[in-house]
Amino acid sequence: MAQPDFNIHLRFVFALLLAVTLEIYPLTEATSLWRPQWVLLTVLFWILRHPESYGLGTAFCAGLFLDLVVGVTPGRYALALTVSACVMIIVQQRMRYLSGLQQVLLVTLLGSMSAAIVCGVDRLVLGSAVPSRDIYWTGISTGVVWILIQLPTGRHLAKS
Amino acid sequence: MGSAIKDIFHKAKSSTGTALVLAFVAICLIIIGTYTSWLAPLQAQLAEFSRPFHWVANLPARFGEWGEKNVVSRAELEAENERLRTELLVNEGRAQRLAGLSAENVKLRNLLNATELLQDRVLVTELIGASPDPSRQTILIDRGLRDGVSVGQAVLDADGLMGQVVEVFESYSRVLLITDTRHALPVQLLRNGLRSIAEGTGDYGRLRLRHVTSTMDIQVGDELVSSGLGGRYPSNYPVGRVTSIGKVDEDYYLQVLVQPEANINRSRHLLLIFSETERLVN
Repeated sequence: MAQPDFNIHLRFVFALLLAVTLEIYPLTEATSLWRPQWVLLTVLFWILRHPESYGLGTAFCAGLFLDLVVGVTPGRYALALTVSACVMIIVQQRMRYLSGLQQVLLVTLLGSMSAAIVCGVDRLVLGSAVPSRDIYWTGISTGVVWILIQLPTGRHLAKS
Repeated sequence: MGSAIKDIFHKAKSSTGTALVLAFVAICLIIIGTYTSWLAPLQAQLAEFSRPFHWVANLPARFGEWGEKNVVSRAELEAENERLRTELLVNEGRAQRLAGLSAENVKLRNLLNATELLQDRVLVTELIGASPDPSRQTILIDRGLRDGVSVGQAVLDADGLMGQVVEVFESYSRVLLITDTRHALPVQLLRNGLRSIAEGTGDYGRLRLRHVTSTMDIQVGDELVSSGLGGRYPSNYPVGRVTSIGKVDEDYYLQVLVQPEANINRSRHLLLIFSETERLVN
Protein backbone atom coordinates (compact mmCIF):
# COMPACT_ATOMS: atom_id res chain seq x y z
CA MET A 1 0.00 0.00 0.00
CA ALA A 2 2.87 2.30 0.81
CA GLN A 3 4.41 2.00 -2.65
CA PRO A 4 1.51 3.35 -4.79
CA ASP A 5 0.91 6.13 -2.23
CA PHE A 6 4.47 7.24 -2.58
CA ASN A 7 4.13 7.18 -6.36
CA ILE A 8 1.06 9.41 -6.20
CA HIS A 9 2.87 11.93 -3.99
CA LEU A 10 5.85 11.88 -6.30
CA ARG A 11 3.62 12.55 -9.29
CA PHE A 12 1.91 15.38 -7.44
CA VAL A 13 5.23 17.01 -6.57
CA PHE A 14 6.37 16.71 -10.17
CA ALA A 15 3.10 18.20 -11.48
CA LEU A 16 3.32 21.06 -8.96
CA LEU A 17 6.90 21.88 -9.94
CA LEU A 18 5.89 21.87 -13.61
CA ALA A 19 2.86 24.05 -12.86
CA VAL A 20 4.95 26.60 -10.94
CA THR A 21 7.44 26.76 -13.82
CA LEU A 22 4.63 27.32 -16.32
CA GLU A 23 3.20 29.97 -14.02
CA ILE A 24 6.40 32.05 -14.20
CA TYR A 25 7.18 31.25 -17.85
CA PRO A 26 7.87 34.63 -19.48
CA LEU A 27 5.04 35.72 -21.79
CA THR A 28 4.30 39.00 -23.49
CA GLU A 29 2.03 41.46 -21.73
CA ALA A 30 -0.99 40.60 -23.89
CA THR A 31 -0.65 36.82 -23.72
CA SER A 32 0.06 36.74 -20.00
CA LEU A 33 -3.53 37.86 -19.40
CA TRP A 34 -4.52 34.50 -20.89
CA ARG A 35 -2.13 32.47 -18.78
CA PRO A 36 -4.06 29.54 -17.24
CA GLN A 37 -3.67 29.16 -13.50
CA TRP A 38 -1.59 26.02 -13.63
CA VAL A 39 -1.07 25.64 -9.90
CA LEU A 40 -4.80 26.02 -9.22
CA LEU A 41 -5.53 23.37 -11.88
CA THR A 42 -3.00 20.97 -10.38
CA VAL A 43 -4.34 21.38 -6.87
CA LEU A 44 -8.00 21.02 -7.94
CA PHE A 45 -7.19 17.95 -10.01
CA TRP A 46 -5.42 16.21 -7.16
CA ILE A 47 -8.11 17.10 -4.66
CA LEU A 48 -10.69 15.47 -6.92
CA ARG A 49 -8.58 12.42 -7.68
CA HIS A 50 -7.22 11.70 -4.21
CA PRO A 51 -9.48 13.44 -1.73
CA GLU A 52 -8.21 11.15 1.03
CA SER A 53 -4.70 12.58 1.00
CA TYR A 54 -5.02 15.98 -0.71
CA GLY A 55 -7.12 18.83 0.56
CA LEU A 56 -7.03 22.37 1.86
CA GLY A 57 -3.60 21.99 3.42
CA THR A 58 -2.22 21.08 0.00
CA ALA A 59 -3.83 24.12 -1.57
CA PHE A 60 -2.50 26.43 1.14
CA CYS A 61 1.05 25.08 0.92
CA ALA A 62 1.06 25.12 -2.90
CA GLY A 63 -0.13 28.73 -2.74
CA LEU A 64 2.61 29.71 -0.29
CA PHE A 65 5.17 28.01 -2.51
CA LEU A 66 3.93 29.95 -5.55
CA ASP A 67 4.06 33.19 -3.53
CA LEU A 68 7.65 32.43 -2.70
CA VAL A 69 8.70 31.67 -6.28
CA VAL A 70 6.85 34.63 -7.79
CA GLY A 71 8.32 36.77 -5.02
CA VAL A 72 5.23 38.66 -3.91
CA THR A 73 3.69 39.29 -0.51
CA PRO A 74 3.38 35.83 1.04
CA GLY A 75 -0.21 34.69 1.47
CA ARG A 76 -1.66 36.15 -1.71
CA TYR A 77 -1.86 32.95 -3.74
CA ALA A 78 -2.26 30.90 -0.55
CA LEU A 79 -5.52 32.74 0.18
CA ALA A 80 -6.78 32.43 -3.41
CA LEU A 81 -5.99 28.72 -3.66
CA THR A 82 -7.45 27.90 -0.23
CA VAL A 83 -10.76 29.56 -1.02
CA SER A 84 -10.98 27.94 -4.48
CA ALA A 85 -10.07 24.51 -3.07
CA CYS A 86 -12.73 24.90 -0.35
CA VAL A 87 -15.41 25.52 -2.99
CA MET A 88 -14.15 22.51 -4.94
CA ILE A 89 -14.33 20.27 -1.86
CA ILE A 90 -17.90 21.39 -1.17
CA VAL A 91 -19.06 20.57 -4.73
CA GLN A 92 -16.75 17.56 -5.03
CA GLN A 93 -19.52 14.94 -5.00
CA ARG A 94 -21.55 16.75 -7.63
CA MET A 95 -18.54 17.27 -9.90
CA ARG A 96 -18.78 13.64 -11.16
CA TYR A 97 -22.25 14.14 -12.52
CA LEU A 98 -21.45 17.35 -14.36
CA SER A 99 -21.03 17.30 -18.12
CA GLY A 100 -17.84 18.56 -19.70
CA LEU A 101 -19.26 21.99 -20.44
CA GLN A 102 -20.60 22.37 -16.89
CA GLN A 103 -17.19 21.43 -15.52
CA VAL A 104 -15.57 24.04 -17.75
CA LEU A 105 -18.00 26.65 -16.44
CA LEU A 106 -17.35 25.71 -12.84
CA VAL A 107 -13.57 25.78 -13.23
CA THR A 108 -13.82 29.06 -15.16
CA LEU A 109 -15.71 30.49 -12.21
CA LEU A 110 -13.14 29.15 -9.75
CA GLY A 111 -10.27 30.47 -11.89
CA SER A 112 -11.85 33.92 -12.14
CA MET A 113 -12.55 33.91 -8.41
CA SER A 114 -8.98 33.04 -7.56
CA ALA A 115 -7.70 35.72 -9.97
CA ALA A 116 -10.15 38.19 -8.42
CA ILE A 117 -8.80 37.43 -4.93
CA VAL A 118 -5.21 37.95 -6.12
CA CYS A 119 -6.23 41.20 -7.85
CA GLY A 120 -8.20 42.36 -4.81
CA VAL A 121 -5.30 41.76 -2.44
CA ASP A 122 -3.05 43.63 -4.88
CA ARG A 123 -5.38 46.59 -4.97
CA LEU A 124 -5.71 46.73 -1.20
CA VAL A 125 -2.01 46.34 -0.58
CA LEU A 126 -0.46 48.24 -3.48
CA GLY A 127 -3.32 50.35 -4.72
CA SER A 128 -2.22 49.35 -8.22
CA ALA A 129 -4.72 49.84 -10.99
CA VAL A 130 -5.43 46.38 -12.39
CA PRO A 131 -8.06 46.40 -15.15
CA SER A 132 -11.00 44.29 -14.04
CA ARG A 133 -11.38 42.39 -17.31
CA ASP A 134 -8.06 40.65 -16.75
CA ILE A 135 -9.53 38.07 -14.42
CA TYR A 136 -12.03 36.64 -16.92
CA TRP A 137 -9.46 35.77 -19.58
CA THR A 138 -7.33 33.75 -17.20
CA GLY A 139 -10.51 32.13 -15.84
CA ILE A 140 -11.60 31.06 -19.31
CA SER A 141 -8.21 29.64 -20.25
CA THR A 142 -8.10 27.78 -16.92
CA GLY A 143 -11.51 26.23 -17.69
CA VAL A 144 -10.40 25.19 -21.19
CA VAL A 145 -7.21 23.59 -19.92
CA TRP A 146 -9.27 21.77 -17.26
CA ILE A 147 -11.31 19.98 -19.89
CA LEU A 148 -8.13 19.09 -21.80
CA ILE A 149 -6.78 17.46 -18.64
CA GLN A 150 -10.10 15.73 -17.97
CA LEU A 151 -10.52 14.26 -21.47
CA PRO A 152 -8.05 11.40 -21.04
CA THR A 153 -8.86 10.85 -17.35
CA GLY A 154 -12.57 11.64 -17.16
CA ARG A 155 -13.74 8.09 -17.75
CA HIS A 156 -11.63 6.89 -14.87
CA LEU A 157 -13.20 9.51 -12.62
CA ALA A 158 -16.75 8.48 -13.51
CA LYS A 159 -16.00 4.84 -12.76
CA SER A 160 -14.43 5.31 -9.36
CA MET B 1 -24.22 3.69 3.40
CA GLY B 2 -25.75 6.20 5.78
CA SER B 3 -22.50 6.68 7.60
CA ALA B 4 -20.71 7.21 4.27
CA ILE B 5 -23.10 10.03 3.38
CA LYS B 6 -22.74 11.46 6.87
CA ASP B 7 -18.99 11.28 6.34
CA ILE B 8 -19.26 13.30 3.15
CA PHE B 9 -21.34 16.01 4.79
CA HIS B 10 -19.10 15.99 7.82
CA LYS B 11 -16.10 16.43 5.56
CA ALA B 12 -17.67 19.34 3.69
CA LYS B 13 -18.55 21.03 6.97
CA SER B 14 -15.16 20.50 8.60
CA SER B 15 -13.37 21.63 5.45
CA THR B 16 -15.20 24.96 5.56
CA GLY B 17 -13.87 25.44 9.09
CA THR B 18 -10.34 24.50 8.03
CA ALA B 19 -10.63 26.81 5.04
CA LEU B 20 -11.61 29.71 7.30
CA VAL B 21 -8.62 29.07 9.57
CA LEU B 22 -6.20 28.78 6.63
CA ALA B 23 -7.67 31.87 4.94
CA PHE B 24 -7.22 33.75 8.22
CA VAL B 25 -3.58 32.63 8.39
CA ALA B 26 -3.07 33.74 4.78
CA ILE B 27 -4.60 37.17 5.49
CA CYS B 28 -2.37 37.52 8.56
CA LEU B 29 0.65 36.64 6.41
CA ILE B 30 -0.35 39.27 3.83
CA ILE B 31 -0.75 41.93 6.52
CA ILE B 32 2.51 41.01 8.27
CA GLY B 33 4.37 40.80 4.94
CA THR B 34 3.06 44.17 3.80
CA TYR B 35 3.29 46.32 6.88
CA THR B 36 6.27 44.83 8.74
CA SER B 37 9.63 43.40 7.74
CA TRP B 38 9.45 40.39 10.08
CA LEU B 39 9.25 37.92 7.21
CA ALA B 40 12.08 39.49 5.19
CA PRO B 41 14.98 37.36 6.51
CA LEU B 42 13.00 34.14 6.06
CA GLN B 43 11.95 35.17 2.56
CA ALA B 44 15.54 35.97 1.63
CA GLN B 45 16.62 32.51 2.81
CA LEU B 46 13.87 30.71 0.93
CA ALA B 47 14.20 32.82 -2.21
CA GLU B 48 17.23 30.82 -3.34
CA PHE B 49 14.84 27.94 -4.06
CA SER B 50 13.03 29.89 -6.71
CA ARG B 51 16.15 30.43 -8.82
CA PRO B 52 15.99 27.00 -10.56
CA PHE B 53 12.40 27.70 -11.62
CA HIS B 54 13.35 30.95 -13.29
CA TRP B 55 16.30 29.21 -14.87
CA VAL B 56 14.11 26.46 -16.36
CA ALA B 57 11.38 28.88 -17.44
CA ASN B 58 14.02 30.90 -19.24
CA LEU B 59 15.53 27.95 -21.12
CA PRO B 60 13.55 28.41 -24.37
CA ALA B 61 14.62 32.04 -24.63
CA ARG B 62 18.24 31.09 -23.94
CA PHE B 63 18.06 28.32 -26.48
CA GLY B 64 16.68 30.73 -29.07
CA GLU B 65 19.52 33.12 -28.39
CA TRP B 66 22.05 30.29 -28.66
CA GLY B 67 20.51 29.26 -32.00
CA GLU B 68 20.66 32.81 -33.26
CA LYS B 69 24.29 32.99 -32.28
CA ASN B 70 25.29 29.69 -33.86
CA VAL B 71 23.14 29.39 -36.96
CA VAL B 72 24.13 32.50 -38.90
CA SER B 73 25.25 32.63 -42.50
CA ARG B 74 28.74 33.70 -43.35
CA ALA B 75 27.48 36.72 -45.28
CA GLU B 76 25.49 37.91 -42.26
CA LEU B 77 28.50 37.50 -40.00
CA GLU B 78 30.69 39.43 -42.38
CA ALA B 79 28.14 42.22 -42.68
CA GLU B 80 27.81 42.42 -38.90
CA ASN B 81 31.56 42.40 -38.51
CA GLU B 82 31.85 45.26 -40.94
CA ARG B 83 29.17 47.22 -39.12
CA LEU B 84 30.80 46.63 -35.74
CA ARG B 85 34.19 47.72 -37.07
CA THR B 86 32.71 51.00 -38.27
CA GLU B 87 30.90 51.47 -35.00
CA LEU B 88 34.08 50.78 -33.06
CA LEU B 89 35.96 53.39 -35.06
CA VAL B 90 33.28 56.00 -34.48
CA ASN B 91 33.11 55.17 -30.75
CA GLU B 92 36.88 55.27 -30.38
CA GLY B 93 36.90 58.70 -31.91
CA ARG B 94 34.21 59.78 -29.46
CA ALA B 95 36.03 58.18 -26.54
CA GLN B 96 39.16 60.18 -27.37
CA ARG B 97 37.20 63.36 -27.23
CA LEU B 98 35.57 62.17 -23.99
CA ALA B 99 38.93 61.50 -22.39
CA GLY B 100 39.97 65.05 -23.13
CA LEU B 101 36.68 66.40 -21.86
CA SER B 102 36.71 64.39 -18.66
CA ALA B 103 40.28 65.49 -17.92
CA GLU B 104 39.15 69.05 -18.38
CA ASN B 105 36.13 68.40 -16.24
CA VAL B 106 38.26 66.98 -13.42
CA LYS B 107 40.42 70.11 -13.53
CA LEU B 108 37.38 72.35 -13.38
CA ARG B 109 35.92 70.33 -10.55
CA ASN B 110 39.17 70.55 -8.67
CA LEU B 111 38.97 74.29 -9.10
CA LEU B 112 35.49 74.16 -7.63
CA ASN B 113 36.63 71.91 -4.77
CA ALA B 114 34.11 69.24 -5.76
CA THR B 115 35.03 65.67 -4.87
CA GLU B 116 32.55 63.88 -7.12
CA LEU B 117 34.15 61.31 -9.41
CA LEU B 118 33.01 60.90 -12.96
CA GLN B 119 33.68 57.30 -13.85
CA ASP B 120 31.24 54.66 -12.69
CA ARG B 121 32.21 51.01 -12.45
CA VAL B 122 29.83 48.67 -14.26
CA LEU B 123 29.10 44.96 -14.12
CA VAL B 124 27.57 43.09 -17.03
CA THR B 125 24.52 41.07 -16.07
CA GLU B 126 21.90 38.97 -17.79
CA LEU B 127 18.17 38.87 -17.39
CA ILE B 128 17.03 35.53 -15.97
CA GLY B 129 13.34 36.11 -15.36
CA ALA B 130 10.52 38.59 -15.50
CA SER B 131 7.55 39.05 -13.21
CA PRO B 132 4.69 36.84 -14.46
CA ASP B 133 2.28 39.46 -13.19
CA PRO B 134 1.65 42.33 -15.62
CA SER B 135 0.78 44.66 -12.75
CA ARG B 136 4.24 44.33 -11.16
CA GLN B 137 7.04 45.28 -13.48
CA THR B 138 10.09 43.63 -12.03
CA ILE B 139 12.82 41.51 -13.57
CA LEU B 140 15.42 39.14 -12.14
CA ILE B 141 19.11 39.47 -13.03
CA ASP B 142 21.86 36.91 -12.52
CA ARG B 143 24.00 38.90 -10.07
CA GLY B 144 23.50 38.85 -6.33
CA LEU B 145 25.18 39.31 -2.97
CA ARG B 146 28.25 37.36 -4.02
CA ASP B 147 28.90 39.82 -6.86
CA GLY B 148 28.62 42.74 -4.46
CA VAL B 149 25.22 43.92 -5.63
CA SER B 150 23.35 46.13 -3.18
CA VAL B 151 19.81 47.48 -2.93
CA GLY B 152 19.35 50.77 -4.79
CA GLN B 153 21.87 50.15 -7.56
CA ALA B 154 20.90 51.40 -10.99
CA VAL B 155 20.50 49.01 -13.92
CA LEU B 156 20.72 50.06 -17.55
CA ASP B 157 20.72 48.51 -20.99
CA ALA B 158 22.61 49.69 -24.04
CA ASP B 159 20.25 52.63 -24.57
CA GLY B 160 19.25 53.99 -21.19
CA LEU B 161 18.15 53.51 -17.60
CA MET B 162 16.03 50.43 -16.91
CA GLY B 163 15.45 50.42 -13.16
CA GLN B 164 16.92 49.86 -9.73
CA VAL B 165 17.74 46.85 -7.59
CA VAL B 166 15.11 46.38 -4.89
CA GLU B 167 15.93 42.95 -3.50
CA VAL B 168 19.27 41.14 -3.42
CA PHE B 169 19.60 37.40 -2.91
CA GLU B 170 22.67 35.19 -2.82
CA SER B 171 23.01 34.63 -6.56
CA TYR B 172 20.41 36.89 -8.14
CA SER B 173 18.53 40.15 -7.59
CA ARG B 174 15.18 41.68 -8.33
CA VAL B 175 15.04 44.94 -10.28
CA LEU B 176 12.09 47.34 -10.20
CA LEU B 177 11.65 48.81 -13.69
CA ILE B 178 11.24 52.55 -14.15
CA THR B 179 7.86 51.95 -15.83
CA ASP B 180 6.34 50.28 -12.76
CA THR B 181 3.55 52.31 -11.19
CA ARG B 182 5.39 52.29 -7.84
CA HIS B 183 8.50 53.83 -9.34
CA ALA B 184 9.53 57.45 -9.80
CA LEU B 185 12.90 58.95 -10.62
CA PRO B 186 14.29 62.49 -10.67
CA VAL B 187 15.15 63.64 -14.18
CA GLN B 188 16.20 66.79 -15.98
CA LEU B 189 15.90 68.02 -19.54
CA LEU B 190 19.13 67.79 -21.46
CA ARG B 191 18.30 70.97 -23.39
CA ASN B 192 17.81 73.38 -20.49
CA GLY B 193 18.35 71.48 -17.25
CA LEU B 194 14.71 71.74 -16.20
CA ARG B 195 14.09 69.29 -13.33
CA SER B 196 11.11 67.00 -12.94
CA ILE B 197 10.07 63.60 -11.66
CA ALA B 198 9.33 60.78 -14.13
CA GLU B 199 6.95 58.20 -12.76
CA GLY B 200 6.00 54.81 -14.18
CA THR B 201 2.58 54.26 -15.72
CA GLY B 202 2.52 50.45 -15.79
CA ASP B 203 2.98 50.60 -19.56
CA TYR B 204 6.42 49.43 -20.76
CA GLY B 205 6.60 52.20 -23.36
CA ARG B 206 5.55 55.18 -21.29
CA LEU B 207 6.58 57.35 -18.34
CA ARG B 208 4.74 60.41 -17.05
CA LEU B 209 6.31 63.65 -15.81
CA ARG B 210 4.90 64.92 -12.55
CA HIS B 211 4.03 68.55 -11.82
CA VAL B 212 4.80 70.19 -15.16
CA THR B 213 3.04 73.53 -15.46
CA SER B 214 2.14 75.21 -18.73
CA THR B 215 4.76 77.92 -18.24
CA MET B 216 7.65 75.47 -18.22
CA ASP B 217 9.89 75.30 -21.27
CA ILE B 218 9.32 71.75 -22.46
CA GLN B 219 8.80 70.47 -26.01
CA VAL B 220 7.99 67.21 -27.75
CA GLY B 221 11.27 65.49 -28.60
CA ASP B 222 13.18 66.81 -25.58
CA GLU B 223 15.65 64.34 -24.15
CA LEU B 224 15.59 63.51 -20.46
CA VAL B 225 18.54 62.33 -18.38
CA SER B 226 18.71 61.28 -14.75
CA SER B 227 19.47 64.28 -12.56
CA GLY B 228 21.21 62.39 -9.77
CA LEU B 229 19.10 64.13 -7.15
CA GLY B 230 17.90 61.86 -4.38
CA GLY B 231 21.13 59.92 -4.56
CA ARG B 232 19.63 56.72 -5.92
CA TYR B 233 20.53 57.06 -9.58
CA PRO B 234 23.81 58.41 -10.89
CA SER B 235 23.38 61.57 -12.93
CA ASN B 236 23.37 62.04 -16.70
CA TYR B 237 22.19 58.63 -17.86
CA PRO B 238 19.59 58.81 -20.66
CA VAL B 239 16.04 58.13 -19.47
CA GLY B 240 13.70 58.95 -22.33
CA ARG B 241 12.27 61.35 -24.85
CA VAL B 242 9.13 63.47 -24.53
CA THR B 243 6.48 62.10 -26.91
CA SER B 244 3.42 64.15 -26.08
CA ILE B 245 2.36 67.15 -24.06
CA GLY B 246 -1.33 67.56 -23.40
CA LYS B 247 -3.75 69.44 -21.22
CA VAL B 248 -6.16 67.39 -19.17
CA ASP B 249 -9.41 69.17 -18.35
CA GLU B 250 -9.50 70.99 -15.04
CA ASP B 251 -6.01 69.83 -14.16
CA TYR B 252 -3.50 72.51 -13.25
CA TYR B 253 -0.57 70.43 -14.48
CA LEU B 254 0.18 69.32 -18.02
CA GLN B 255 0.19 65.66 -18.93
CA VAL B 256 3.66 64.99 -20.32
CA LEU B 257 4.38 61.49 -21.63
CA VAL B 258 7.87 60.16 -22.12
CA GLN B 259 9.05 57.19 -24.14
CA PRO B 260 11.88 55.40 -22.27
CA GLU B 261 15.17 55.12 -24.15
CA ALA B 262 15.84 51.64 -22.80
CA ASN B 263 14.17 48.64 -24.42
CA ILE B 264 12.40 47.95 -21.15
CA ASN B 265 10.75 44.67 -22.11
CA ARG B 266 13.22 43.41 -24.70
CA SER B 267 16.78 43.85 -23.45
CA ARG B 268 18.44 40.75 -22.05
CA HIS B 269 21.98 41.95 -21.45
CA LEU B 270 22.15 44.71 -18.89
CA LEU B 271 24.67 46.75 -16.93
CA LEU B 272 24.74 47.21 -13.16
CA ILE B 273 26.26 50.49 -12.07
CA PHE B 274 28.45 50.80 -9.03
CA SER B 275 28.25 54.49 -8.53
CA GLU B 276 31.45 55.96 -7.17
CA THR B 277 29.65 58.99 -5.83
CA GLU B 278 27.32 56.78 -3.84
CA ARG B 279 30.25 55.02 -2.26
CA LEU B 280 31.84 58.34 -1.33
CA VAL B 281 28.63 59.41 0.33
CA ASN B 282 28.44 56.13 2.23
